[in-house]
Amino acid sequence: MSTPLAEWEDLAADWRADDQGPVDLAPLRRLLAAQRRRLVAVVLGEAALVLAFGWLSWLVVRDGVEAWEVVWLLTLWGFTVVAVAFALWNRRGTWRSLGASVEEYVRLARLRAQRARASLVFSCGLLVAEVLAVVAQLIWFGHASGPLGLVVGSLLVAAISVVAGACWLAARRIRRELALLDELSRQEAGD
Amino acid sequence: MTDFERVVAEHGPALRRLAAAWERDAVAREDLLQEILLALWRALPRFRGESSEKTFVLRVAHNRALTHRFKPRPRAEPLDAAAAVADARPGPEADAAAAQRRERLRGALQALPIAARQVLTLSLEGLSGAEIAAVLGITENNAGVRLSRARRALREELERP
Repeated sequence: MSTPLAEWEDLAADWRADDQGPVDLAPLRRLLAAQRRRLVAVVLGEAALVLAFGWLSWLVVRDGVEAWEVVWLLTLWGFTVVAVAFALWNRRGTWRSLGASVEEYVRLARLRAQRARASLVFSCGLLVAEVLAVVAQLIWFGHASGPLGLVVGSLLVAAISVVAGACWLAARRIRRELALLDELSRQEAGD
Repeated sequence: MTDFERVVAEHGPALRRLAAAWERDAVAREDLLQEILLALWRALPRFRGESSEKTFVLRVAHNRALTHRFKPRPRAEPLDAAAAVADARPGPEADAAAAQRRERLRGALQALPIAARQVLTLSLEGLSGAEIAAVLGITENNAGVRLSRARRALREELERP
């Protein structure tokens, strides 16, 4: 039995009568201010990272470089370029207005989740490739057992731990998002 | 008054009702409202009047509500506690019976599947079939069928003891 129109109109009138006064915009202003601060911090952080990376490279090449240093620098810069290029390519077609229809937004949300999953797989693959490349270089140039080997080895273990933890959390979030989107699609298909 | 402030003043109550239909927990409800306002603040400069302002606002709000569901769910508050928070502020709806009916309606909406909840909240806000179709990105015919089934499901939910 469906809801009679009159009853529905009463329900809607009841619903719209729920007006709890004006919306307080103070929390939003605080949120925006915090976001601006975070954005500035991220931009400054990225700039500092690039400068530090450049400065480190310059320190290495300043007084002439040995063969292993050239290989090491090329590896670092090579992986950085590949990671940035993939990040830009992977975002294609996912930047749209929030004002898109719900159906379009759901499609975009699914695309974003799938891209995030691709990004996750790529990050793990890149990390494995980097670890293999660095370890191979250490062994090839005879630094594996020296102090450099110890420092690089510790950094690799730290990087692997951080990336593995971040990937696990991200994978869980993506699974949850895709499950909700699948559920929504099933509901809509049930119409 | 900026354009954004005017839009929030005009549609704020509808946004608050939408947040209440999606989230039972008072904290999650307020969190969703702030997320909707933030999304609206970002989206509003790109609004070119292709649809009515109300349709645009509700479209942004529904999209954000959906994304909000991606977050892990907190433990649900007991219904009475949620109701106490929802009606804590004084307003024109002093009538306790009306407030109780609204709370029951909110509870029923929250219990329904997302697709039904979307179409029902839009209809409760007074949107026409064409407007609901525009918000959801479906045909008007489809919106009509979906609304009819959702109303039936809502009635069943409301009649549940």
